[in-house]
Amino acid sequence: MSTGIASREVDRGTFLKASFVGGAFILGIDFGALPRAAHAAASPTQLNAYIRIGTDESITIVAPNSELGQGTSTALPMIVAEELKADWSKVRMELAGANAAFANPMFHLQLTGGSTAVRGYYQALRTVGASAREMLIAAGAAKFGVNASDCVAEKGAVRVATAGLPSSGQVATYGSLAAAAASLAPPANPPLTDRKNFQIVGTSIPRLDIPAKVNGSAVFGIDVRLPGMVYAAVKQSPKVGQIPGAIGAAPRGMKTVALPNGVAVVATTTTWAAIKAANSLSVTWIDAPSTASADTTAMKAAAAALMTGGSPVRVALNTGDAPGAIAKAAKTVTATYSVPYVPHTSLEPMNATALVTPTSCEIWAPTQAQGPCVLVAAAITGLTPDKITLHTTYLGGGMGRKGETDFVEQAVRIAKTMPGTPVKLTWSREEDMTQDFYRPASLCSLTGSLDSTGALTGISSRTVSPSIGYQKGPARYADPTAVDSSAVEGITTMPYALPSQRTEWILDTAPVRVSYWRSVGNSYNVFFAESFIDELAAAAGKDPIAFRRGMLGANPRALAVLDTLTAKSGWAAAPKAGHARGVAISQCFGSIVGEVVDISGSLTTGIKVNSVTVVIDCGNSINPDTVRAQMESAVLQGLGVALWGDMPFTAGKPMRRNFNTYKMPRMRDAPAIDTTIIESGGPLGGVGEPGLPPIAPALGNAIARLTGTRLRSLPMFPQPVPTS
Amino acid sequence: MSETRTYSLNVNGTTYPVTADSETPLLWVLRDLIGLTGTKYGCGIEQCYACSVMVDGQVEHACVFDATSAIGKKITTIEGLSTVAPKLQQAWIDEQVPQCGYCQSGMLIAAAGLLKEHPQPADSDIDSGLPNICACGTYPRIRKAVKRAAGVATTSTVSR
Repeated sequence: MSTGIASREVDRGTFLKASFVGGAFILGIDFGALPRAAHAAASPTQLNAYIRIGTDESITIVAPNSELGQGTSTALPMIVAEELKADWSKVRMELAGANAAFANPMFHLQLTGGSTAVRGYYQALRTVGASAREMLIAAGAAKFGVNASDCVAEKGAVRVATAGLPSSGQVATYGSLAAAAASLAPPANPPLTDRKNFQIVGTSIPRLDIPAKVNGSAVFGIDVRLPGMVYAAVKQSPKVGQIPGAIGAAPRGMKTVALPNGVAVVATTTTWAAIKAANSLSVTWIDAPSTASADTTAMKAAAAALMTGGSPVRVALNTGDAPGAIAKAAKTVTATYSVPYVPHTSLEPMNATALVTPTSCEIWAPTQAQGPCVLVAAAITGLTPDKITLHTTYLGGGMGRKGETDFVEQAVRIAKTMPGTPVKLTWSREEDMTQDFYRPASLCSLTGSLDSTGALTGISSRTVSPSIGYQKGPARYADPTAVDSSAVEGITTMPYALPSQRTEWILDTAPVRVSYWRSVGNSYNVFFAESFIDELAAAAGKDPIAFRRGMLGANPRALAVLDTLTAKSGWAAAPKAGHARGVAISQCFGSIVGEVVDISGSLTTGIKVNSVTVVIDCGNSINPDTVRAQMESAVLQGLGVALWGDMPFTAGKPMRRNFNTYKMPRMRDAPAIDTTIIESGGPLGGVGEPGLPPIAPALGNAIARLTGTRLRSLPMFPQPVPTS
Repeated sequence: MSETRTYSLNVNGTTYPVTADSETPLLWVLRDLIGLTGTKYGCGIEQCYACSVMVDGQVEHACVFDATSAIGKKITTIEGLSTVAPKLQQAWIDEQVPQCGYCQSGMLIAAAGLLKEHPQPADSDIDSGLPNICACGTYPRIRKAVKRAAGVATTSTVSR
């Protein structure tokens, strides 16, 4: 039975609605995505249970973001629990399905990306927790016949704190107050806890998702099992842009389903049977006009031609007089850098499960993009979005790839051909590697100018690269001044005060699909920028840290990161014999990260990465150990891609199909990693991505010092390209 | 030419009847026919080792392991690991190892195999004994967790 009352806007854009259902105080929430009129009509369950406080003292908090390893399924509940003054040992977490009410307040879409979980939801979640707390306090005050101001909330209970009252010192647990609290109106603008009094936020609380991840019980998308479920696999175009023509017959007992870019095979027995049948299925493929041009050699030549003669030249940033600075320079340095296309390689391949009926569509998926998935499913089934239910599973990695909706779309298309039967679609690793939306390749030429004192007077750069923005919405780029900021971020956002900077970009319309990859443009543009800064420091005859330090006077947070890094890495002392160090710093997603890498070895015998020192200022950390874990993760992923990562194309075909030809870091490759978090109190910054950009340039800078050779092209150690 | 075959497998001490194409690898018998999904598919060609299980105490890669050759043997998956190596899972929790968690079933099985062979593993034993891929890069914490489970002093690789 529900005793819900009208929803209340408790903070700008955050609506709450209370009810008592199934033995629990349920606080439904909407972060402002639903139309205002919808709130009055919505039942609390339509607004979706956000916090559930059971009479059994259990507290369930929904994590609105996808959990792909970054730890937000613990960090977000921590924020609610802090204001709620919950007993953390009673807190359980649930992963949110698709619901417009859970849209990230930063961009009004339920989507996990851009290191936005904590930044986007922080204020709203505090308000939600504080509202529930005030309702419980009010219920407790009524129970004890005192004023709310006589009560305090602590560790999952309300206590009468004022001395000298008949009920002084009495305590009522949240569970015992749940029913009464649910009948109250959520208060507007509840008081928030001063950070210095935080007891949960800012502490290294063990993650809520880890126990299930060490005993095999965590359910990833690929693990979904439903009664009567069948298994699907896909054979997609082996070359870029192809579509299927004639499709051969499926083995007995199986069926094929034609898809826009390939064919699905559905088996009743196992995923293995479906993959095997898909692999041996006969399909004729029809080339797109651009298929043959997806060839690494040809694409490199085309990019080089664009660099010198391409148009329009789009200006992303133009401060001061950079050309003038070059003309007046005592010394100039020019260098050209490049990076290849890079796959995402999340270890759980793309997969999704769908059950379509004439009136409904239910999806289980490891997705970073709940909102977009619902829209895609609605378009395919012809159902309205309210008839689409999406359950978010754990994600076995995502790295941005699972923010695309293609695999979910395929599952829905297949399930639509067999109404009432749940279909689990699983891509083979080969499909996953060759049907990626890759990190864009990029070619960047930079010129820096130094005055007679060795001070940097300006940086001019021109980048040629494909564009995520262009591929997702080309119309905007008909305007010759339109710039995809992600193509140059990391260059335009250097932390330094430069007297002049001109950043140009030329769009490359190469046919390879590109998309978001951990830290997006920063992941390679910081390699260009911070490697080049070291080249300039060398030309100026200055120490790399001293050179950077001189340009950070107006950026005290970055300066503090660099100074802490200097101390923690022992930069002042000479490295061990045979070792060398490199440094890099970047600011992105609202955080500043600096890294120093210590290496030994040689270009011929191999480079050994011994240790990495990381310093991050993300404003404040919610869960410091999670921040450290993300720095470790970003360093390892960034190292692997800097050393070995690429996807070569030959005559339209992506050539690396599995981990036998795509080299990933393993245990023996992992350096010691030491992370320091600066709790600067600045605005909250992201954590999942900002650790990645500095590692490639720090490594390149160390290699230049160790060997005298500047590596300007990634990967630094290209692996043999398979011939078929 | 493959054929359908009926047999039974002993997994984590329980006997499961199986009717499957005789070529179906152990991984898919476990996941799709028996319903133990803790063992993961990552590559299918014995490269990432996310599918690691134990067969009669030996670490095997289930994606290429003929299920019928496990008939009459004792199979241990992540779901049954706690009876074989109880300290490992707790060490993984204590060191807060998993991130996405997808590789960790295979990692834990491989670690159990490693500790069986090297009860006091040196770093070089861990390097060679745990070749599994973790795309999240949890290696420094795995190293610490293995040593913790083994009761070996750690040279700190992670600032925690």
